[in-house]
Amino acid sequence: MIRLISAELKKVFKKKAIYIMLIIVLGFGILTNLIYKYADKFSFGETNRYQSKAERDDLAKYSKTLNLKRQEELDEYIYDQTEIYFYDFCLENEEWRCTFLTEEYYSLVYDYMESTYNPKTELNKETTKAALDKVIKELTENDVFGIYRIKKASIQTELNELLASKDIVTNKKEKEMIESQIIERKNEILKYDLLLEHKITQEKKDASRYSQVISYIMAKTSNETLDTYDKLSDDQKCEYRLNKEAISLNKYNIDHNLDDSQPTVAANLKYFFGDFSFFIVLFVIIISGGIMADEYHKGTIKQLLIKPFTRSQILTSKLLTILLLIPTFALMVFTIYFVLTCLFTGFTGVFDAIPVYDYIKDEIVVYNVFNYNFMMFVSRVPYFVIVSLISFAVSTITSSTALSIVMPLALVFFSNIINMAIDSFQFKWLRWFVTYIWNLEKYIFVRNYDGVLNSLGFNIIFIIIYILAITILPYIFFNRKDIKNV
Amino acid sequence: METIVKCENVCKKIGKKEILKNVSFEINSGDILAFIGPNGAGKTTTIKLMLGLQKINKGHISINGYDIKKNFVKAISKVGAIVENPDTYMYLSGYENLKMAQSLYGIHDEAELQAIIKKIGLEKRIKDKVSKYSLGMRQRLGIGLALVNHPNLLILDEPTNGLDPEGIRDLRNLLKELAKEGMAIFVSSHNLAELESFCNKVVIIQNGVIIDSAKTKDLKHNISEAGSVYTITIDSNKKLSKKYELLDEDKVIIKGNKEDVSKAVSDLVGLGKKIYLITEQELSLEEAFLKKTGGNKID
Repeated sequence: MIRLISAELKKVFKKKAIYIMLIIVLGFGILTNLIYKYADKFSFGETNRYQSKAERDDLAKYSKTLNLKRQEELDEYIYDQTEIYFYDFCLENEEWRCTFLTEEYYSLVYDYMESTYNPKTELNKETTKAALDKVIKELTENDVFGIYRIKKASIQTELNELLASKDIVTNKKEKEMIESQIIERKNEILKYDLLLEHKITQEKKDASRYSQVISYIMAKTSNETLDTYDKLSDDQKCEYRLNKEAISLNKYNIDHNLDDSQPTVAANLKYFFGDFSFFIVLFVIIISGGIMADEYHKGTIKQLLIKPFTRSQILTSKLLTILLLIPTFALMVFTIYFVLTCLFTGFTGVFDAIPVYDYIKDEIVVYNVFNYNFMMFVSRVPYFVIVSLISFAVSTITSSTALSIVMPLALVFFSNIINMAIDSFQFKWLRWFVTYIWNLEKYIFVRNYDGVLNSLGFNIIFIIIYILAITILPYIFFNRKDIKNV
Repeated sequence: METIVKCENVCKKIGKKEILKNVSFEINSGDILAFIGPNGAGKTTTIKLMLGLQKINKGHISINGYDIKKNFVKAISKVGAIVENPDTYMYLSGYENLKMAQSLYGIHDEAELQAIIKKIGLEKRIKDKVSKYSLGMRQRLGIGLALVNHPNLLILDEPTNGLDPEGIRDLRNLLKELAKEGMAIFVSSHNLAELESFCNKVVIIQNGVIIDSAKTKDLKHNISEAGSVYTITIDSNKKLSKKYELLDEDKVIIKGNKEDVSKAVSDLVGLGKKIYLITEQELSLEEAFLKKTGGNKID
């Protein structure tokens, strides 16, 4: 058997296909690294939109043509004046101050314009102007941390008022609304505490860390304002679970100052299986499909069959070769991408943590690049094995390389759609279908899930059934086959 | 002399069509057996059944005392073969093909490999990829592949296909040498002129049935209904009586046995004829084959 497997491996590694695949992987790896490295230089729409003087002047020119006696045009004029105010501020101040004003104080500016231009408004112009001037002063005279403290103090005042009013209100619905607002204010204060603690500014360099804080606060607020878990609908339960993951992961990243927007080895290789799984599957299919069909086409199957081995031994050797090649090729592709990433990132973050949220334990489990990808590979082993066995079985039974590649590829391509359909239409009776059970990632990492999950035991039983059924067929067929004209 | 192959009443059916009907023959060590027949007679099917490439419906085939059905691994372990075409891995070199075949038998003998390469005459091209070989070179390689396991039975299907005259001569000498060493050789070919130069046994198959099995020299004897055919060359056959069958101007044909020849010689001498030569007529293998099968041409 070892002699047969050794011969099979020699044949595989003498074929050009494997090296062509590796060159394609190399090219794709370079492209992926380039994208990760230079992504921020190509990101559009992230810079503040109030940066163009020409746009500001065009808007001003247009708004002068509006008829303020007509209510619709008056509303439009007020909106335009608000926008012009932002343009004027942003063109004279740093981007982060501009972002702060436009995102945090939009209504303040709008109210001021409303009070200035709408004669029918109830808003008082002096009041709105005073409030706006105060904010502008704070924005222009303080650094970002000063502004955080001012904001925090302002929200604290609102919180105190809400806490006081909560005791007075008797109406249940009103009380619930106040409680919800209290939670929001408390989390807003927490947000500024975190921004101050970890010295996160509004500048582009801190964009990722800032968004971690925002995501954390949003998820936390959302879960705290939801009802108890058991009373939630299925969609709400799903949202709750996703929020738990967001809370834990973002908190971990914030506490450990992990900026996952920077291209490090760990950050890039976290997505290795997402980016390269297809290459591994494609390689496996091509090798499995050709290992038998090519022998029929070239006639070399006769040479094998007249050697002192039973047909079952010959088939088993080819099968074991395929199974050996799955981790081999995965390792080869990983190594290529790992080396490329190290070169592109200057070996930055090779041993950085990759945090993963464990839903069952409700805690973060920390991996490194190597054991994370090893676990990702292990969780996909049934997938790779089943796909390769299907290819091998079709190749043995039909002697057609084309069919043995197309059939498993079709299953791979449509697997997501099939799984979505099973979940969406609640086809419980289809949860044993091969595409639904072949990826064990959700079990290995015990991560969140947005559908109904089979038990791990259920999946493993069906994986074994599929493997046995697909493996037995070529043995039956090959042992009975007469070799005719090849 | 050891019986290497015993084929007993072998039958093969594909669908409703009977391909082989009660095919029986034996090959002993040292034999070079020519297995000949018209197209579609069942030659290649017989070879495939001997090698376990197809299933036997009825009958038995044993090689070296092992039944090919019941004990395939032992039966095939001392067999080398080329079936239909020399099947080689085109993307490997000739050397790699031979090395791989050798290693599958658990043999790792470089000296032996080199000896085989020398025997098949591919020393200069053995490291080239087989895809660059001519048909003749691939045929030589195929023969080499059949020899890696020191077989005591060699089965060759159209071995001279693609070989130049030098190659055919080398093959002929090689097969004679191997037969002398005790190897049993089974050759199926349409090149009867070549076969008769080195095969000592012939089996003729037609429509799935063995129609004759004999030593080559016996098959080639020109047998008429009366017996063997002899030619007596004399000075002139003019004015001889019509009881003699005449040929050309100086030959008399006698059909019968040696006694008849002796009587005829006496008669001719009595008639004053001079006797120059007496020969027993021999057919070529092709003529013998055509006579047996009733065909006008082989291919």
